[in-house]
Amino acid sequence: MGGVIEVPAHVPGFPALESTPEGAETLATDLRAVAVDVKNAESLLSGWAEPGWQGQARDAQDHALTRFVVRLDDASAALDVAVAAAGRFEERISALSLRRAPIETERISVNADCAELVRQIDAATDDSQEQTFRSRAATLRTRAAKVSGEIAAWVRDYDQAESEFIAALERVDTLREGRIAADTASRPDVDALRAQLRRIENDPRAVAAWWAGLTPAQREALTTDDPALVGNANGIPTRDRDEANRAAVYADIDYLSQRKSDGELTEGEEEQLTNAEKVREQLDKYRDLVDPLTGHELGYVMVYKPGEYGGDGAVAFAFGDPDLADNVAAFVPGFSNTTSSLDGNLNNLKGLYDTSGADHRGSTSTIFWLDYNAPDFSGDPAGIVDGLMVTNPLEAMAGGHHFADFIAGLHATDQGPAAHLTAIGHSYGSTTVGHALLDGAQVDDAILIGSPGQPVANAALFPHVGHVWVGSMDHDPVTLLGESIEPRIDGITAATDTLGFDPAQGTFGGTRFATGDGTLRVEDLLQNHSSYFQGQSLHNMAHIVSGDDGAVTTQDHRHFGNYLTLPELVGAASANSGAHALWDGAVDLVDDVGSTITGLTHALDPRSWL
Amino acid sequence: MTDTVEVSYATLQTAKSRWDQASDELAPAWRRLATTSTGSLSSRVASALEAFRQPWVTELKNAASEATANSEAITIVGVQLQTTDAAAAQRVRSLLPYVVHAAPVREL
Repeated sequence: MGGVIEVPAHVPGFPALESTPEGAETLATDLRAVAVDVKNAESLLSGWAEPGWQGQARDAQDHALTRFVVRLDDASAALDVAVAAAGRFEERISALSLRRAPIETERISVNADCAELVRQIDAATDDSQEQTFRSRAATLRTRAAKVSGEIAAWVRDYDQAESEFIAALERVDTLREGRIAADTASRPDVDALRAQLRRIENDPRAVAAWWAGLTPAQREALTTDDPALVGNANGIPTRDRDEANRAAVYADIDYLSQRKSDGELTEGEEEQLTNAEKVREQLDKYRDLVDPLTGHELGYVMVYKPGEYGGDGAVAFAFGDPDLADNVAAFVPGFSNTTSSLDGNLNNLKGLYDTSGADHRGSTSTIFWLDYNAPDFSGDPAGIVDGLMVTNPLEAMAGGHHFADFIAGLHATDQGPAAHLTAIGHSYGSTTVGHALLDGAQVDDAILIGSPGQPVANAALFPHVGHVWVGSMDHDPVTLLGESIEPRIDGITAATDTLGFDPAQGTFGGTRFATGDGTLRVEDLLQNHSSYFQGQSLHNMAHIVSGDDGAVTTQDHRHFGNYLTLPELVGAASANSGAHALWDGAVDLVDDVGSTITGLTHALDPRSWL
Repeated sequence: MTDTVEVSYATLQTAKSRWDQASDELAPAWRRLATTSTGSLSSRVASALEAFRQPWVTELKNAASEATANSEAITIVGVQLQTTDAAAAQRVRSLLPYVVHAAPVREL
């Protein structure tokens, strides 16, 4: 060799995150929940305090209730500072966690390439490769310098994130400092913020723009003061909704569990506690999964209303942040779904998230949305009336309106290139989706599975949907409840009190994707209705969600004569099962089906049908 | 000797209930703050958190106890708030809404 070839030195390792994203997120959530608890207590009493209590009026000193409220306000102010700092810390630690992986990969790669170059130089027996070696060494020096710089910047940023968080905590770690924080002129005025949000809450784009203009301290203060408002407002970014809703979940569990242990829980509060615990179960279940887009937990609570709809509760839960994902699917369940049925539904949505992601056509988010009064039978008279609403589109219409608002919120908070958005409805939920589409919900694709009927006879009447897909197993009896669009020549009069038209028919104008027909046995008919998130059907839905339309397999539309009508299906299935007892039930069913769907729901237990 | 504060029964009931609810909010609040895990935080962040929460856990714990005591202090007999003496009546009166802070205290 003609001279020295400078191969860069081994780039040393750098520390792992000592404060982890999970630890930072847990801390931030806990602090928010504590702040919600304290502000709730303050709010219970503050309206009764001396009117000038916030100004420390002298009269107030003689009034114990007022003094108490002032104390709580000091604690609230200190917690506001801590929560805002914890939120910022959490964001920075999550971002640092995402940043670290590629730096570490490059560091290892540079070191390996350097070692290999040294080995080749040592093994060289002549000068023939000297220029090549010099060129490779120069490239490696550039790479090593770059990765060393990135490591130094990462370490500096990590140190800064911790230092700033610690400094914020130190500013409010005495009661006196809490008082100072409460008196600070720059303290967010949450009453004014709440009023501003209330004025625009029905306009998701206005909400998104308004929220973006707030300071982090204002956002956090409003979040802990009114988590229900922030967590459920369409137009607030998903990450912030999730923070508000998680805080509300834990604060509700804190408060209601305390009342339960005191023997003071009312019936309504008991339902709320059950619903809160169901949501917490799911948060715990998916806690270890990380959203590759954000470094946060994979699950996001986008709606949380534990006392809504007569105690059924309302909830929306996303896998992956829909504001950042390339492909977003929002799913509406049907009959008999409440917050209590979250587990099975989320299993399905997680399956769709994984299967769609396997298409490798961008990042994915799948959302379970239940913010409408899905008809649900329960033992009491009100529950029976509620359950009978399954034959009536009124709840689907109201739910469709809500769902359209939710979709508008997704558009308002979408970041980067517009996401490919798919709405999915199952059973009565498909009717709800149909009403949302009719209401103007703007989606690229709509998937209607196990549909008992659509509000229009032709998909072209949905104003803002790109493509309508239909999944209807021929042996799913619920899909045979829809009114026939095609002229009937079988002598059966089309039902008049249906949930709408059968979208599996060709004249509806949707694309019927392959689902298989399901098993033709009476005991399996109900199972057929709940099998769309499996096998071929699941894969086709995943392709649609990821925008891989070319990979979707189809099956023929329904035309008179190429499928069994409901009476024929029940008869054939009973015959196949060889169950004479069931046959008797089937005869009743056939008798009923000619009249109304109400008759049908009485003929067979509808709980697991719709 | 027994003293009463002349306020409406509804006001008394609501005040007692609100103090009770405030206690139910504050008791779990201090417990959650006290038990927040520091296991996945660096030692210096953990010690700053410890320093932050120590006074506030104590403060919220005291506030929770006080709220419970205040609820229990509003002992309603019949449709009246009755106390042991005038001083006790004045103390309890200050736990009621400010609008009734000057409600008459009378000896029974």
